[in-house]
Amino acid sequence: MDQTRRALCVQHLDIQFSTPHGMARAVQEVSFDIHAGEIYALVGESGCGKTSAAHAVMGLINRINAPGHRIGGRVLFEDKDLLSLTEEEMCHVRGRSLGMIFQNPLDALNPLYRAGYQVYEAIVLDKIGKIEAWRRVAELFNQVKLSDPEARMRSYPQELSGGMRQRVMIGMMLARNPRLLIADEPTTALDVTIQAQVLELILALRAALEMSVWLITHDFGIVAEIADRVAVMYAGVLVEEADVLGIFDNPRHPYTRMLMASLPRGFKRDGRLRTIAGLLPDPTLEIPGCRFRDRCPAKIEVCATQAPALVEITPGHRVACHVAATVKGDLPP
Amino acid sequence: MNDLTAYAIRRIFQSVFIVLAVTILLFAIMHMMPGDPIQLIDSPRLDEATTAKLRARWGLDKPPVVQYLYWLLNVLKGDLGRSITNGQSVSVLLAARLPATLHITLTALLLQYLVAVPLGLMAGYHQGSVFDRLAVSVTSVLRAIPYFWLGILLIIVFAVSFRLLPVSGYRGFQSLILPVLTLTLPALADTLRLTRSEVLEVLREKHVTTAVAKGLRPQMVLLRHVLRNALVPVTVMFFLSVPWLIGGSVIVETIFAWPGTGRLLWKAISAQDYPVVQGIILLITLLTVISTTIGDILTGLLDPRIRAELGGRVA
Repeated sequence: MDQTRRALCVQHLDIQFSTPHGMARAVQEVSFDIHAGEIYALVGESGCGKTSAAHAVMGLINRINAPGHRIGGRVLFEDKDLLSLTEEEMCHVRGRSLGMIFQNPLDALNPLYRAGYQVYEAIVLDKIGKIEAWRRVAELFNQVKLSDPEARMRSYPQELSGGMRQRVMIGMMLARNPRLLIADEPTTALDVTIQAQVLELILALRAALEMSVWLITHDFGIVAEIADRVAVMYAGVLVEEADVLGIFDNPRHPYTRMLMASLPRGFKRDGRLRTIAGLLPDPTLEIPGCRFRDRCPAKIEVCATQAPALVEITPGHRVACHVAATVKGDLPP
Repeated sequence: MNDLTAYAIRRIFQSVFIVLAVTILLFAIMHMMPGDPIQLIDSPRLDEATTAKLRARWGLDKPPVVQYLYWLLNVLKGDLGRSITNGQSVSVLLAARLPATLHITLTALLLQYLVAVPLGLMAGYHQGSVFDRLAVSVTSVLRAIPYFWLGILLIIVFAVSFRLLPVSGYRGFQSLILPVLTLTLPALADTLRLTRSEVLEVLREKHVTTAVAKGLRPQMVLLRHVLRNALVPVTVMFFLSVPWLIGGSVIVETIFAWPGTGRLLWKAISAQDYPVVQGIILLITLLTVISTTIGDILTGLLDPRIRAELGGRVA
């Protein structure tokens, strides 16, 4: 594994938020690496902590949006631990080396500024002259395939469609050539044809700019289309990680398997999509044993007392499940 | 023609109509009062023929619409009639009193916003801090204080006990301080709270996270993306409060014996000097319409969404 360069190395990331019912543990001891140049997908249902993890890496969790939060662990990026940087130092990393695009492009842009200016604002942080910076904005708008870039630069966000706004966001976050782009549900708020275009754009730009992409999604369809490696998260913990073929050919964790079964695909038998019964556990409670236990069809006795560790079962394929780690070959459905 | 120009033209057009409507209303109220000035003469020497001649001379025999047009023409020429109590021209009275009023009210308004907006920004940004809690509790107290009580309190403390400032009157900078403070302090509280709550709201918006994520420093995010957005409603409030510059200082001008329009209005109301009251109301109306128009155009300038919506285009 060590011959591949690491773009991001998350170690024992732990995030707790203060709630009226006590501290809620949104992310628990999550560790993973993102290799240089790859698209790494983090998959899980809403509320499982994937967005919190990304926000923590970007240093976007602060006392204003999350008073009383606690973040533990290490996030290594370009030989620095991002979690130990000061706000001042973080300003040099954000946007420049680390870009992030958000789930809903509709409210991710300031309605009072023209789209071009909001990108320009990021570019001039690199001490670039005005004319040069505006040229770069036009170039970026071209690169993200916005039609009539000159006119789009002068448009206000509310004059643009959702897909166009997401392109502006991508342009803004690519403006300073980041090494890693975090894409948090980049297509969820867009309709299907626009989704495909935006995904294609991300793929093309990844190749052109040689950056890594950390894709956060709940949609295995998107994962299959563009990801190189996949991690599945459940209730704040990483339950499985493998390359994209490994996940689809041989999903080991019961949760992953159930997620796959709930995908709308050709092999469904009874004409209805399968759903996973039950809800995510209450994050304010300390749960002994496996967090998926209540919803798991394959649970055994040890699951109630001992939390499964993430272990490598085959090279590059890690899973956190007592059953999957011991049983070879086919698993019970 | 861009959105803003279209919007501004429409807005100015509307204002002219509003002012016209108000003059009609004012004239109608005058007209609804029983009798006319000729009847008030009530002299035995006045026979039917002379009354009719006098009515014709003052245009009172004409239909109300024609009379209104005459009156409007006079108002446009700057003639607002004469005071009943001392026969002075109302326009001359107003012109003499207006500067004194604008002196304290404009100073108070500027002071209010220059102090309250930065403090509100800080309180919102440092929500829950000692400074924020202090700001919130002090402003709750300030809002509850009536002008007359605060004015008298300030006089007792600074003019009577410490003899630092004059009790009342209109003599230079020192006499300006107490009335301005009396006007500013309660109003300051509202502005501070409005700014604070707007800042808190904008801080929770997603585009602020985007601004941070693209690498802007906290101060830049705060000024360009938080304050700028929060200023839109604050600007609206500013221009809504301008009309009160003329009449809203009634109490303060009375307490401090300030020779302005506020005190004039108070005296005119007590003496039932209705041409003066009307003149001041017309002035307040004009000011209201003008300042809200400026306010609306300025918010259009600050917020493209308002501009697009009101300029006739769908955002």
